[in-house]
Amino acid sequence: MVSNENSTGGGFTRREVLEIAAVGTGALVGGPLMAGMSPPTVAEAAARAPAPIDVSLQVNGTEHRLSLDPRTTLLDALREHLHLTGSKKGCGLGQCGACTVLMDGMRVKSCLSLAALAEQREITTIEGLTQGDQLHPLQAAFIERDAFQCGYCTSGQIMAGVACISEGHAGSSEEIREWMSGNLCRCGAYDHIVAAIQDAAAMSGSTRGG
Amino acid sequence: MHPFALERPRDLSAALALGAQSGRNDAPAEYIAGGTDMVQLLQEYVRRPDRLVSLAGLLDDSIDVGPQGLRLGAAATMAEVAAHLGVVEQFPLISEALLNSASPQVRNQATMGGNLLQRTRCPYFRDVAFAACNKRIPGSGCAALDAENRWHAVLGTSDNCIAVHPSDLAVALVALDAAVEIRGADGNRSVPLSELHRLPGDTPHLETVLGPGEVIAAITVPANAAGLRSYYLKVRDRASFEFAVVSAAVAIDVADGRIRQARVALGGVGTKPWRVPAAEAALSGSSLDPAALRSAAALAANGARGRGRNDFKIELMQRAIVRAAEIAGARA
Amino acid sequence: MTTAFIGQPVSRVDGRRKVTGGATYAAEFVVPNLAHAAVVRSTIASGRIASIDGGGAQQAPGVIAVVTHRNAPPLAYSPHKGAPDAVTGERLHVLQDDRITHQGQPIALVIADTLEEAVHAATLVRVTYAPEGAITDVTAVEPVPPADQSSPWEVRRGDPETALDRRRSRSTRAM
Repeated sequence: MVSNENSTGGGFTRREVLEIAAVGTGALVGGPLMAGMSPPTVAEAAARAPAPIDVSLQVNGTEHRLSLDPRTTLLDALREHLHLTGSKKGCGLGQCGACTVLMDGMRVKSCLSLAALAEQREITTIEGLTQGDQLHPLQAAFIERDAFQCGYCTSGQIMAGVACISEGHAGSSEEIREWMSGNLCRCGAYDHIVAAIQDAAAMSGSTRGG
Repeated sequence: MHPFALERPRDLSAALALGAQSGRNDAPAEYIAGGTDMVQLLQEYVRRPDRLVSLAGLLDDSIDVGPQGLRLGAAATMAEVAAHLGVVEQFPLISEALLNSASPQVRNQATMGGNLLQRTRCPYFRDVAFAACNKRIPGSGCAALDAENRWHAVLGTSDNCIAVHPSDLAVALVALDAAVEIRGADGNRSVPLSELHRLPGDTPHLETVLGPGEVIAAITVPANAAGLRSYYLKVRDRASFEFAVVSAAVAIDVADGRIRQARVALGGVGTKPWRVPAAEAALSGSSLDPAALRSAAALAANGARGRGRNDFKIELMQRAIVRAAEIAGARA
Repeated sequence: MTTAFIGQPVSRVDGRRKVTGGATYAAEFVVPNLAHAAVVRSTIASGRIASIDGGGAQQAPGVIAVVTHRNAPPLAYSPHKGAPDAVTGERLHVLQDDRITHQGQPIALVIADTLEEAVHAATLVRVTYAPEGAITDVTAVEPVPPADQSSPWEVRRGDPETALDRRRSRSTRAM
């Protein structure tokens, strides 16, 4: 979803736009103009494209060197540039958790991280959880407990779940629900997700929580 | 996002020099730390800096609890502070406020400084399609005044802006008399947290007293706020991962069934984190009797003004103070 | 037909792919020469586009095309009925004319080499609107009768009321 800034064409000043807008139904309105800013000219728009920067990302144990627009989020770097599409863009705003990855073992929302600021961190994505053919216990538990339907939130749920267990927050069902509150599931598989996390936590022996 | 040059300076003075290169608010240069608010603001074009200056690795991230009180480096994350044993034992109000905020992932990324400086959640501020927002465009009006203002402030408002400051941490800190250490290209200074944020008045676009390029370097809480019985009550539309409709931070020192001193602050209702000294004074020497709590809490409503869809907050915030005080009082 | 699987707790056949990030969803197929599109959306809820200028976007780096109702190909929708049909509803006609029927309605598509270029160029599209009052209260509008009165929008078979009554009294007796 793009939120766009529509400005008036034809050189209306902000005052004129607001006065026109005040007239009522049928009046022409343009979008908001930022104070002190005239709409960019064509030449300015072209000239202001940011120069790409070199970014080195450590992902699932491998170093990747990329040349990126500085605006690239870590999520877009993973999905569009490294073609690691396991991490998902559910909202792009840090609210749904489908983009959850681990940075130095800690769960974070990759859609809220700029790729260029994720250098020198060890990034683990869903693709990095399997060891060869061997599923991570939580991945196996998700299948066993049918903890997904469409599967779009699943990568984020699993990455967050892995962290939830290692943080020691996978004790009771209530605790898991609270500590998994950053991950939404539109299909409503929450009960099974909680069960899968409990199973995996019991296997790893880390059910004690705060 | 608006195109920006990303600066990753090696040391703090280089960062401060870059940040100071222009005026504040709509400044061509903005800072980014954890990024959990800034990246959203950039994605939605609410902030359009030409340069983004990364503070990663440049600020203190230590957490210190000792006889002098509490010192939080501005780069310490919400998760680190919430889990720190010294904070949990001596300043549980802070830990509680943090664990009631955001989600585990966001808490791993978001920093102390960034949390205090996060921008309002007002939907008219956050959506640039709304032309009337004095915070974004000085003089353009306030779209929230006669529209969907259920989430908006009843305290500290003006007819130019009724946006709520969203931080839970700030409410807890302001109750505990926190101060912030500020660093800039021209030097350092310290300011009580209660004075960091400005009331909107005629200038809602000026949210803090930070000068061009200044950063928060640390937050301190005095030792006399340690060990108080406290509770952070957050009333919200969802059980988790949601901003406050109303919140109350209450910390009390109780002896022989009497309150010796009280700290009371409100969230979700003020244009800045809202300490309630009148309620604190009324609680001083008071019992924990509900009627006494209720009459002290009523003082919070002085000067409160509903804007149509948030009138309920005026009653709710008083009840929140009472409930938080009761729970705090019952804690060993 | 085998009934061996009915009632059995069978794991989903796509389970492994979904839990390993290997399942490919719509936007995840790697295709050579892939372009990216960003959608420009209406900021008013009802009215018309008075003017739309994609020139600034067109000139932005990496942009391949800017599609608006001015240059979009006509799409094979059913003939416009002029009023929404209560039975079948009305499909949103995208980029076909200057009408705005809801806030957020797609009004332009900016196509570029990269996602960041497309998203940014989308902000350079300049639009002015002639807004009309939007109605957001369902009780404030008259119900719309179906345009096609010849085909019934209630179909009956058998006598459901009688059958339900009989059933109700049977279960009441059983209780």
